[in-house]
Amino acid sequence: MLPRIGLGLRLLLHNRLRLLIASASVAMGVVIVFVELGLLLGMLDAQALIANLVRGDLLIMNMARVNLHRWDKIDLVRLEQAAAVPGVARVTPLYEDHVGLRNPADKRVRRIILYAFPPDDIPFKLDNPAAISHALKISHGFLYDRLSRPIFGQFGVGDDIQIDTVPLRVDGYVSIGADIVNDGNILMSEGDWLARLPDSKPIMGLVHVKPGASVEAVRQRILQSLPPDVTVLTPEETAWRETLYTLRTAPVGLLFAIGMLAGLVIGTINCYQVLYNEITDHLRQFATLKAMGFSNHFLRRIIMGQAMVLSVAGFSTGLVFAWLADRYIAGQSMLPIGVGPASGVIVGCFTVLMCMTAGLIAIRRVAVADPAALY
Amino acid sequence: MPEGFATDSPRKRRAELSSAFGMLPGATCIIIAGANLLQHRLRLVAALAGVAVALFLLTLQISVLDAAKAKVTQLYDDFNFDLAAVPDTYQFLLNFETIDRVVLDQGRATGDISRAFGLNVDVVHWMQWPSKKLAYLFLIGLDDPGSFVRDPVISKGVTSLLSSNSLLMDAYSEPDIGPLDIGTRAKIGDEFETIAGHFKLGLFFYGEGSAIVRNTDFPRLTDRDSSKVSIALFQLRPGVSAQKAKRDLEAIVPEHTLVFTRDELLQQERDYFLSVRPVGIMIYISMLIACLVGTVIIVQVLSTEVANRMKEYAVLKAMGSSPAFVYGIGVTQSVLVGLGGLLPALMIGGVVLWYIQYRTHLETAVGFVLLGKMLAITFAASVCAAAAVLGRVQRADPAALY
Repeated sequence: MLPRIGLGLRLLLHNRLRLLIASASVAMGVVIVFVELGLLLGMLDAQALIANLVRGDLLIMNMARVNLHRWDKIDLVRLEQAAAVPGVARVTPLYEDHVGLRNPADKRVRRIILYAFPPDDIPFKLDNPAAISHALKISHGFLYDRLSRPIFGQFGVGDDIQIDTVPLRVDGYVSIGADIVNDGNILMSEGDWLARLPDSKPIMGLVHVKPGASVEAVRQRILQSLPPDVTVLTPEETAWRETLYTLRTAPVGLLFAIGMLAGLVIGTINCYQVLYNEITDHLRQFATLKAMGFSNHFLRRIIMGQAMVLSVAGFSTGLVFAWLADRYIAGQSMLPIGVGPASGVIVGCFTVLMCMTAGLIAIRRVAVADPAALY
Repeated sequence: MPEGFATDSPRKRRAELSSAFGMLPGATCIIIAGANLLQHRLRLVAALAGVAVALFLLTLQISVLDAAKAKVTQLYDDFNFDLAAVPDTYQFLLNFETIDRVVLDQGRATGDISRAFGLNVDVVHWMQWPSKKLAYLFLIGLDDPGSFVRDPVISKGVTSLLSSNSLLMDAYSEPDIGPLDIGTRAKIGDEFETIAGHFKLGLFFYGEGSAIVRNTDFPRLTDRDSSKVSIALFQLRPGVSAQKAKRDLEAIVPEHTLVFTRDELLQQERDYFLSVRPVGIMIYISMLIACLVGTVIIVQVLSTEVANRMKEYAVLKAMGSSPAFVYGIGVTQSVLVGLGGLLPALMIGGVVLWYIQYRTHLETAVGFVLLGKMLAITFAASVCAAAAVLGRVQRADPAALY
C-alpha cells in the first residue's frame, strides 16, 4: 500500500497550527528515544573511552583485569618479553593510578586519575601530540584534562597545584573526558611518576607491530611467548568487552533501554491520537470522496501518507530538541552524549515505523466514513 | 427545564441536575466523565496506554533513584552516630586515606562525646581457593560493635568472630566472589580466611563483594598501620548539640581532618553519587521528560475530548449547569485517564522493579512510599492538564447550537 504523501500533506497543511502541534506531539516520542539512546550510548562510550583513545595495535593487560576500571597491574618484565617477540616494533608502558588533587578554591582534595607514559611515545590519540610531548618533558609538571568534572576547580597554566600533597605545575591542557566512575584525568611523564613511585607497575602495555606484520599473528606469538597471566586484545576488542561488561553489571543500561522502548510506544500513541483527530475532523471530506467513488483503499493510502508526513515532521522537530537536550545533558554530566549519524539513522527508522504503525491502527476509523451521513 | 432556572444559584441548579440523575453532584461528574471516555474505546485504550507508558517510565526512574540514594548511605545507615571525623581527602565511603586513631580519644576528651568507634574500609583481592580466581573485596573493619552497629545480624556476627582468620561475608556479593557458604576458605594477601557468617548489604559500588572483619585483624589484611582508622564515628552525650560538638572537635583534631555531623556526611555522600556522578543527573533528566510526556498526553486526550464535546458542554450550560459542574466533568475525565494509566504502569513497573532488585539488590520493589509518590504525581499532572485545557469550555455557547 503506497502512501499518498502529496494529498496527505495538503490535508495536514490545511491547518498549519495543528500540524505544528501534531509534529511536536510525534517529536516528543522522538526526543525520548534520542535522549535515552544518547544516555545509553554516552555511558557506554565513556566507560570504553580509554580503549577507544589508545594508540596501539594490541593491548597487553593483566589477565585479572576483566574491565578497564580494575586496578590489576602487569609486571614490566611482561612488556619487555612482548617487545622481544618477532613482529613487535615497540611496547609502550602506560601507568595508571588515582591521586588526590587539591582544589585551589575550596581546598578539598578529590580523587583524579593519573596516566603516566614516556613523553616521546604518547599512547593516546590527542590533538597536538608534539606540544604534549614537549610539555611532559618538563619535570615536576602535569597536563590537566579540561573535560574533567568541575569539582577540581579552575586553574591556569603555570599554577602550582597539590597532587598528593606535592605541589606540581600545570604545564597545559588535554581533552580526554570523565566517565561514570572517574571524575577526571591528568597526564604525567613516566620519569616523574617513577621518581615518586619507583616500584609502580604499568596498567597496560601498548604493542605497536612492525609495518607489514599481521596483528593476529603477532598476538598469537605474544600469547605463546608469555605466561598465561596476561591477556592480549586489540583496542576494538577491549572497547567491546568494556561495553558488554557495563551492560551486564549496570542496571542503568536496562533502565535506558526501557526508556527507549517507552519513547517508541509514546510516539506511536501520540501519532495515533493525531491521526485519529485528523480523520474525525475530515470525516465529511472522506465521505464525499467515497460518494464520488473513491475506494477505502484510496482513503487508507491518504492516511498512510499523513503518517509519513508526520514521521518526517516529527523526526525533524525531535532532532532539533534532542540535540539541544543532549547538549545540556552532556554539559551537566560531562559524558560524551550527543546525536550521531548512527543514532540519527536508527531513530529515523524507528520514527517511520512508529508513525506507520499508528497509521495502520487509525486507518480503521476511515472505513466508517459514510456518504449517507453527509445529508 | 423549570422556569426561572437561569436565575437560581449554581449550587441549586447543580443539585437539581444531580437529582435528575438521582445522585450526588460528584458522582454525576464521574458517571458523565466515564461515559465520555468510554464512547471511543479504542482511543481511550490508546490514551491509557500512552499515560501508562509515561508513568511506568517514571515509576522505574523514581524507584531506582530512591534505591540508589538509600544504597549509597546504606553502610552509614547501619551505624548509630552523631558526628564523624574523616581525612580531608574524603570524597565518599571508599577512601584510601586515614586519620590517626588518637582522634577517637580526642573526641572523648571534649566532654561532648559519650562513645567513639573506629571504622576502616579498603579494597583487597579475594583469591578463591584452589582456583586462584581473583575478585575485588570491599573489606570493612569494625571496633567492638557496642551500641554503634544497628544491624543485629552484623553486631552478633562480629562478636562471634572468634578466630583472627574469620570474616563475615555479604550474602549479596556478586557471583565473581565465588562460593559464599560458611566454612569456605579463600586468601586475602598471603592469609587464608574462612567465611564464618553472613550479612546483607550489596555494596556493589565498591567491589564484587564485601566482608567484615574485626579492626584487630584489619591492619594485617590490608597492610595498614594499626594506629590509623578510615573514619571515626562518635555518639554524643544526651542533650549536647551536634553543631556545638562539631565545633569543639574541629578545634582539637589534627590538621587535614574534617568533622561532619551525621546529616552532613550522609548528604555529602548522596550529593557525590547523585549530583557529581552522571548517573543521578541522567535519571533526573529522564524523570523530568517522563513527567512532561505523561502530562502532555493527558492534555492531548483532554483537549480532543473538549473540542469534540463543545456542543454537549453548551447543552449542559443551556440546562443551567454551573461552570464548576462542567469543569468538574473535565477534571474527572483527566484524573480518570491518569489513574487508569497508573494502574497498568504500577503492575508492569512492579514486575520490572522486582527483576532489578533481584539482579542488583537495590531496594527497588514497589512500596507504599513509591505508591504515594506516583499517586501524587499522577493527580498533579492530571489536574495541571485539565487546567491547561478546560478554559476552552467557557467558550461553549448555547446559542451556537442553533
